Amino acid sequence: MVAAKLAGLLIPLMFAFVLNHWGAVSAQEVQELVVRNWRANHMKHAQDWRDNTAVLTIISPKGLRRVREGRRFTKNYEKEGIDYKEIIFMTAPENIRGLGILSWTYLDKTKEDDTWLWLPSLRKVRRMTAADGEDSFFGTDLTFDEVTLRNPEDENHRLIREEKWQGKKCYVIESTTKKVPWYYTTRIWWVDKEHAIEYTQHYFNEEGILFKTLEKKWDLIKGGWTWNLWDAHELRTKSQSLVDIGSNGSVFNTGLADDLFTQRTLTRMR
Amino acid sequence: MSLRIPHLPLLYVCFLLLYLSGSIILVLPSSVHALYQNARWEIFGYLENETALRVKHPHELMKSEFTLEMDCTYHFSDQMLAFVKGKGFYDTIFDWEDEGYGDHKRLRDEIAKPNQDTTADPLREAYVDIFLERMDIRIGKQQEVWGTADGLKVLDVINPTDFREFYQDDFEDSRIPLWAFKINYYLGQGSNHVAQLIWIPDIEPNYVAPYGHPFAPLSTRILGELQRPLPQFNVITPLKTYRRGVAQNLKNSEGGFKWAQNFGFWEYTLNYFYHWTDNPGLYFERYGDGFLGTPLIYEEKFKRVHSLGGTFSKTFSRFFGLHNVVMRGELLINLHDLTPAATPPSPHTPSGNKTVATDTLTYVVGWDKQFRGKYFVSFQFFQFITLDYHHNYLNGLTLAPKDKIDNAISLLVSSDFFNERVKPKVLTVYLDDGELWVQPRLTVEVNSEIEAVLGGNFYRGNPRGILGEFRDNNQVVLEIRYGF
Repeated sequence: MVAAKLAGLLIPLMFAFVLNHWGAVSAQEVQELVVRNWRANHMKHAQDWRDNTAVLTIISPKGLRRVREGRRFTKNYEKEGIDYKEIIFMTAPENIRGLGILSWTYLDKTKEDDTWLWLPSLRKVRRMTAADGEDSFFGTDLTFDEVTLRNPEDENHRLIREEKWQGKKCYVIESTTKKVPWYYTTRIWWVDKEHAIEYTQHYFNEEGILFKTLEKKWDLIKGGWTWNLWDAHELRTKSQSLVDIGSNGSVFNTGLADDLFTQRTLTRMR
Repeated sequence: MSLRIPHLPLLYVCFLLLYLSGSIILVLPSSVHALYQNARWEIFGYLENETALRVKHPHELMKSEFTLEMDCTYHFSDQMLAFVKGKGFYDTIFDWEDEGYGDHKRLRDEIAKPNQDTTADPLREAYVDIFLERMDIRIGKQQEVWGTADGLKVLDVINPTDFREFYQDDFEDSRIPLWAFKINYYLGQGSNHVAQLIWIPDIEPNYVAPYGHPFAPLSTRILGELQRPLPQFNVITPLKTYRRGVAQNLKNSEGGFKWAQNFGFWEYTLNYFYHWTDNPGLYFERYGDGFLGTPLIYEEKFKRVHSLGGTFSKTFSRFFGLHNVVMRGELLINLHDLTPAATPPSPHTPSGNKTVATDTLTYVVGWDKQFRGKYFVSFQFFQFITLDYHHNYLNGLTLAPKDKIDNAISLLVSSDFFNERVKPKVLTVYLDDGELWVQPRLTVEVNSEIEAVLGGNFYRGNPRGILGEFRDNNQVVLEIRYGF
């Protein structure tokens, strides 16, 4: 009887403890974690960042490989209204050589990014809009949303559990997009508890069906976490895409000039 | 050119073998790298065959052209580079035998005149770039693009156009590069404000497909008939023309200025270009000397034109119920441009036509929208207005009476599938006289180096209309391109 009473007291207490423990990760903290993760993805630990060369490989279900090469330059501002500026351009193969994208992202996340696309074959700078975030990133299974455009404010986030991913302690976050219609409804992702870098993401459509997985590998370079490989699997088309900048393929704080991030640079591409 | 296919000519076989062997050799390493690339040098190129088949009876080949284009960049330093792009092409169609072989040979000689500055010139571009802190300088043979409308040109006025295939070619390929000196001066650190000055001592006109070519416009055909001996009287040729080109000297050079600025959420440019007409006017010169021979002598002359214009673009997060729409526009005012006009025959206008100076205003407004990150739709509305209109003005392409205002719309729809491996695109241009041009293209990326394009050009409308006159040239086109 006493044991039953004790159990009656202890079990709610244990639940309360567990809940209290979970409660240590409040919604506010989840949001902060997501922002930390976004900052890691955008190399916010550095003033500026560039990769040596990114190799994009698209592998068809039958194993046919198409390879593209490009470079990416980013400069973090976090002042005077500008969050960061970025320029990406393709260097190979010949048919997409010189294709470039310049984007200016603002601290005010209600303000839409300014994004320009340079089409060297047309010698034309064309403005892009946020709707282009759904578009494939240079033919890969990644989207511009995933590579560069998505902000923490674009989704609602909640912690659903804690779990190890390949031996690393992770929070499992469920993020539901605020954009409707959009190419996914929900993504579930495993983010390192300590470093706030994500290892894998699962994308679900409106029917709750998993249609894409995206894994990332990270290097620790000069105290900052830097991704070096993205591996995306499109489960509907059974295609795979790799974005590989190579281990230690990133270079930080080289003093990239403001003028690099202008249409002037885009129009120099041939 | 159009002709039947009796057998494969030797040259065609040679080119085909060269093309295939080149592709195979170059494909084997299956690399995405340039032909050669290091810190200082970049060499890229492509080899392409483009074959066009007439859809209408008798289903003839109209073109089977091999193109080799290569470009080379040498970086002297971060502040200076040299760029050269060369292009060689050979349309084997001129070697196919038929009844008119002699005529085809004449056409080939006409189209590929080595001393004529058209897109047939093997030197496409050759310039030196100098990048200073606030200034970019480009000296040499180059293209400069001011207008960015799809399908038809409005403010793309700096370089003349090679119309040997009407508007079918990509503008990049149909623009005739010019020797020029260009300065871009950038204001404000990290901004997109630029002042541009361009000086062009190299004066070249548009190139129009010659008489006998399937894409020769009606005006060329009418004039061409008059420049040939009359069938009944072989010794009499009604009319002869002589072209008086513009001497290439400092006084005759062309110059332009552009100011581009981001203004809040708007981007705009203001443009001015002082140049020569791209198409000559036809002026009666004198009567022929003898009773027989050529009774009328005309001269083709060019005149100075002032072109003023501007562009704008703006992103709307919401536009009439649609999210994220880009609106853009271009405007061009030509002062003292030339147009043909009908006139009562007189001693000074014996043919009943004359050339008059006229002022025109052309503009385009376009809307670009991406649907679901997959379907790009671009709609444009064009208007061509003759400001000092007179009812006897004629259209320069067809010599048909000209309207005070002509309207056109265009619709470009494109998408991609299978990781951009398959890319369909359709451009439709409709003129208000009920004329239509549809250009579908289906591009398939076979691998990183090889692309195949199946496309076509289809015209409808009045046979005396700008587009309708080419309705017998409806064609399907196959392109195979190997990039390296």
